[in-house]
This record gives sequence, C-alpha cells and structure tokens, in this order.
Amino acid sequence: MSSQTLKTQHAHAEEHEHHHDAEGTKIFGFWIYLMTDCILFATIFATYAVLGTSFAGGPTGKDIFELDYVLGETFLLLFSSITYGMAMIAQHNGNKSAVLKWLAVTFLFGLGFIVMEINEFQHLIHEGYGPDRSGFLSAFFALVGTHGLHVTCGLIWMAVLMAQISSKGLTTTNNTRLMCLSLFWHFLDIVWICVFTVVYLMGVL
Amino acid sequence: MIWHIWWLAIVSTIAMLVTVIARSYNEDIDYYVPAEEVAAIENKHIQVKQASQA
Repeated sequence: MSSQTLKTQHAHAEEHEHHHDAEGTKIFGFWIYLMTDCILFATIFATYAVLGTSFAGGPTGKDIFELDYVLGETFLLLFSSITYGMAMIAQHNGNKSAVLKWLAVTFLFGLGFIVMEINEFQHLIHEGYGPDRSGFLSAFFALVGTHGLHVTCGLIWMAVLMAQISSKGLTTTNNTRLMCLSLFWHFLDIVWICVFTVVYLMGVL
Repeated sequence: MIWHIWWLAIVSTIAMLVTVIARSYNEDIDYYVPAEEVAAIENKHIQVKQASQA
C-alpha cells in the first residue's frame, strides 16, 4: 500500500510540473514586470522631453554627441539581439553547447556596449559636462544611465544563467529563465532605439 | 544619497545581488500535497470536532 501511495505521489508530482503551467505564469509575470519598466522609462523620457533644452549656458546635444561613436554602440546592441535570437533557436533544438556559445557572443556584444557607454560618460564628466552642469545633462545621464544599468543587470543575469545552463543543462527552469532574459534583452534593445532617436539623432539635428 | 553612507549602499547592493543569485540556485521551491492526504487530515479534523461536541 505504501509503495502504491509513493507511486501515486510520484505521478502527481509529474502531473504537477506539467499541468499547472508554472512556466507560463512566470513568463506572464515577467511581461507585467516589463510593462512597469515601460512606465519607468516613459517617465524618464518625459523628464528628458521637458529638460532636454535647458542648457543653462552649457553645451547642447550638438556640441557633445559623437554620432558615429553612438552608432557603433547601437550596432553592438542590435547585433547582440540577433545573437540572442540564435541562442533561442539553439535552445529550441535542445543544443546546449550552441546555446552557451551564442549567449557568450551576446554577452561580449553587450559588454562592448557598456564599456563604450562608460567611456562616453567618463569623457563627458572629464570635460566638465557631468549631470550637475545643466538640466539637459541631468536628464541625459538619468535616461541613458538607467538604460545602461538595465543592460548591466542583464549581463550579470546572463553570466549566472550561462553558469547554470552549463552545470544543470537545458532544464525547464533554465529554459523559462532563458525566455525571460530574451524578453528583457529585446525590450532593452527597443528602449535603446528610442534613446538613440530621441536623445542622439534629434539632439544633433 | 542624503547621508552619503556609501559603504552601506555598496555593501547592501552586493548583498542583494548575492542573495538573489544564491536563491536562483535553489530549485526545490514547491511541493505537492496529494488530495488523499488533504482528505485524511480534514476527515480526522471533523471527527475530532464532532467527538468533542457530542
């Protein structure tokens, strides 16, 4: 009788994992998080729209933005989205080593973006154009910095996930996390497109 | 940063990161209670209640 109970319990445990659709719930929850993040970025964009022309006698966008450099950053981030897509295809095919390889490529692209951004910030602050110079620069550092902080968090997440996939394989948990990070990464790419257009392109026009 | 306690901010940030990452390694986060077990507990509870009322 006890072995019968154990068997039923085991059957139920399996049923539990598949029938309750915990993965679907997690991904839905992550979508809700992304929407709240959207509100955050919308608020900072609104702030930038208001303060974007308050130069206080300081530099304007035209004076400090190097469009070629920022275009380089943009391409690094866009390519990292493509390579993340390749990682998701590899995950779909159950190819663990390919997932790890594409995640590593994505990580390097993302890291390149962040290094370039930190370099840009350091350069601006060194020139005396830090966030305390004008309303425009406060809003600029808040908006671009918040995006950069998100990408940095994404990179930490990616590094931890790569370690977990290499030790535990493509488990249900890891696949769900891979899916959530994918949503996060593409979301940040879309936000960057808006930053590039509103801040850099419109700033130089 | 009103009071400029940077050491606390840095230590707290690292602690948060470490906690979340450590938590992500724990996959034993839920358990299943079979319906029979729930029924057995509930029936026992009802019996005890009825016995005390009688």
